[in-house]
Amino acid sequence: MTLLDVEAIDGYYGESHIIQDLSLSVDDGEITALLGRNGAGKTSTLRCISGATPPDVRSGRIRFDGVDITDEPPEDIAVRGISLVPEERRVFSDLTVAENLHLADTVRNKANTLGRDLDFRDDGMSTSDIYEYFPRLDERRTQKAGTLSGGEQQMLAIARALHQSTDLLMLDEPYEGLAPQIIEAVENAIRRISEAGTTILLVEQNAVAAMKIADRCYVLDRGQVVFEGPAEELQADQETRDKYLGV
Amino acid sequence: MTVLADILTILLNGLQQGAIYVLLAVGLSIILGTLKFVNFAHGALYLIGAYLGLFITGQVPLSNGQLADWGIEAYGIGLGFTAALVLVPIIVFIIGILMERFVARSFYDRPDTDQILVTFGLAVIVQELLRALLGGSSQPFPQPGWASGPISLPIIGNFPRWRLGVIAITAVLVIGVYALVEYTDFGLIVQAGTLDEEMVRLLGIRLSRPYLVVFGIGAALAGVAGVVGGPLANVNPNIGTEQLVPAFLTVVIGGVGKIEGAVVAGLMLGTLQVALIQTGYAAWSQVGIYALAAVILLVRPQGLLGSEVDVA
Repeated sequence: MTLLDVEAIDGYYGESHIIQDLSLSVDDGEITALLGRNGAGKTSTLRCISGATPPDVRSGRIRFDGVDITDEPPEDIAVRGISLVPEERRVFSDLTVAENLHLADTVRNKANTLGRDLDFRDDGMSTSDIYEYFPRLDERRTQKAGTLSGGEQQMLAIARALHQSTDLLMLDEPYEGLAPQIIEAVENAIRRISEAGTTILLVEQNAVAAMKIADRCYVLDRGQVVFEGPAEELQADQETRDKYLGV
Repeated sequence: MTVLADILTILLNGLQQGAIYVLLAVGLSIILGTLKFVNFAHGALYLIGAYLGLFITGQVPLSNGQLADWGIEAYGIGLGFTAALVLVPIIVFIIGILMERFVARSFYDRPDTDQILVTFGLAVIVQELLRALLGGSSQPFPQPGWASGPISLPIIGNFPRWRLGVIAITAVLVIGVYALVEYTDFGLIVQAGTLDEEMVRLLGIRLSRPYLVVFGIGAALAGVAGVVGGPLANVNPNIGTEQLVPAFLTVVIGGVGKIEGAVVAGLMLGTLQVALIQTGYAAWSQVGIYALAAVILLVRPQGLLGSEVDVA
């Protein structure tokens, strides 16, 4: 079943046409990877889906679970169950680990006072489950997020996203700047999250690492889809890999 | 008078002078830090607070201005000072909320220069409207009965009771705002919004309501500053603009968005100013606070307690 359906979107940064007639779909329960060189439009695509601006989506439709979310603001899209682990993690550096996680609770607690009818498909992973999943974060609950190592910050960003109501987890370059053994730990975390039933859309420059865990791959070049298919097909397609991924 | 008594008197007066700066700067700083909005109308909120305080407290005779020309001889409802102290922050909170919704909000995404122009224009309108209606002459603001006259303190001797009142009221309010920001979910959202607004929204948190409240609280603090500061000097239409510059200085010295920073910086400026005046260098007091500001900002461009990310 299709969970996310992006249909022929065009995205602009000011006048520059950064996403061109891009379509992709993400199936429920799968890991879908969005690959391509730096500047191919991967991060911009995730921003379009999450409702962050810029880029402005000027044409095309984005549907999530059958609902058109193209023109919704990011806070409403997040509540629908799409969470983003952005590039460079963007944890709140002056807040503690526990406070970073607690922010997601404020949405649930304040649902009424914010004047919104919130109808979560699920409640997100509980705090105790998160600390069980990521014991390092448990040890560092009262530490400021800015003092964590790169790998720990990545774990916190993923944990924060899982603590939201998450049906679709979007990860933007989760391996960036991490040492090889930390990459393995993050990879394992992503596998476990996927096995627990969360759908994942993964953006990665490290194509070899991404193909290892993805079910389906899209390759982008200059804002357009140039390949789509199962990960094994891309593994075998040396021409596409040479031309667009350099691996 | 001993030297010790002199020093303590300067410190206490400095604390009182600084308290007014702190009240103004805390609101200005959280608005600037959280909403990234440069509010040059913050002094006008102080001015409104002072005039509203006068209006609620007593009966003020009118000698010139448009209202006098229309034959109105006095204004005021005479409910007393305590009523003013309670009502003014509520009314100015509402004014702040209206200002956010109808003026500030549409300027959040526009350059600082646009924000400065529109808020400065608003400040001038408020100031000149008051001058046109009520006349430009200075009005004495009576001290509250329960806090007038001197109090006898050890070592120092007699000290104006109201000045201690100003320090106490400021301390209570600033601690209250600090607790709100540090220990509540509302405060957590505001702090996170100050650090990375887009990320907060991506977590599903709607920021328009918290921003409205932040603006209202900042405005209410400026209104209170007008009421407690009023009895320390006369009230006239220029006092808002006069307070705006030291308030901004306090914000940048303390570090944008930092309540503790505004407190430390406000008390430093107040004490320095009072020290120069009471030691016979009154003419140098303005030079002194700007020189202090320049030295601090040369050494720490982000302000005393500001984090480096805030500079960008």
